[in-house]
Amino acid sequence: MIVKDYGGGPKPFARAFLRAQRYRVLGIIQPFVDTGAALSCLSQVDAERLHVPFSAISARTPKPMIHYLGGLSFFAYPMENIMLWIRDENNKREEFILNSIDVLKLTKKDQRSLDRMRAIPSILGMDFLLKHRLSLNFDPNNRTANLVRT
Amino acid sequence: MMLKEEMKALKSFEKESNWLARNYEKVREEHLEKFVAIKDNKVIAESESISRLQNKLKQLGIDPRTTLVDFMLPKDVILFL
Repeated sequence: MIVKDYGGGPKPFARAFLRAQRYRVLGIIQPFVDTGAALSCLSQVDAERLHVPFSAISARTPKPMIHYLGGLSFFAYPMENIMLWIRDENNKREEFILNSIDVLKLTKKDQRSLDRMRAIPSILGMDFLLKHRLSLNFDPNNRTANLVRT
Repeated sequence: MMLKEEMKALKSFEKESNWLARNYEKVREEHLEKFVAIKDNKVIAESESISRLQNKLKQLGIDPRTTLVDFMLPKDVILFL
């Protein structure tokens, strides 16, 4: 993991390789590990960069949930069967399976929302930590962070 | 099983990410409020929009899916997530 100064202070970010076989989506992401977030999500920026097929995903969820993040509202489209690979502090690969991750898409397309959306990162939330029995050890003073199985 | 190519991409991504963390202030100053793409310890492309950055990367023959892309948020912006 890495600790970055982002949005006002140090925050812990994971580095991961994501694969969603069904949609042929793959690529690297750097999600913010957020114990204050209930659900994990893939930011609109990462979704565009990884070529997530929004039309195919949105067709499966005609009434998406709404997520509020960073003062913006997003439609949340679940993308199923996700595999994540993360390397731990000993350089050992860990494989994680998620039933789904919510792909975010702005509910409004005005310029102000589009501008602000650029700063919203992908997030690994409590659902991820609970499912895989992980705890986040984050020391903002020494700028260290790691995920440990409990 | 994880494929060799994926592992290689992750290792390279971590390397670029470590470099960016070490040079964050300088990169942020030079590319404020823009997306930057990092490869071989340098900024290889920048743009205000992710789609334009992706086009620039494609022109360079670089796959955006396995390239470190980060947004340079101004220092005085506090983000509550």
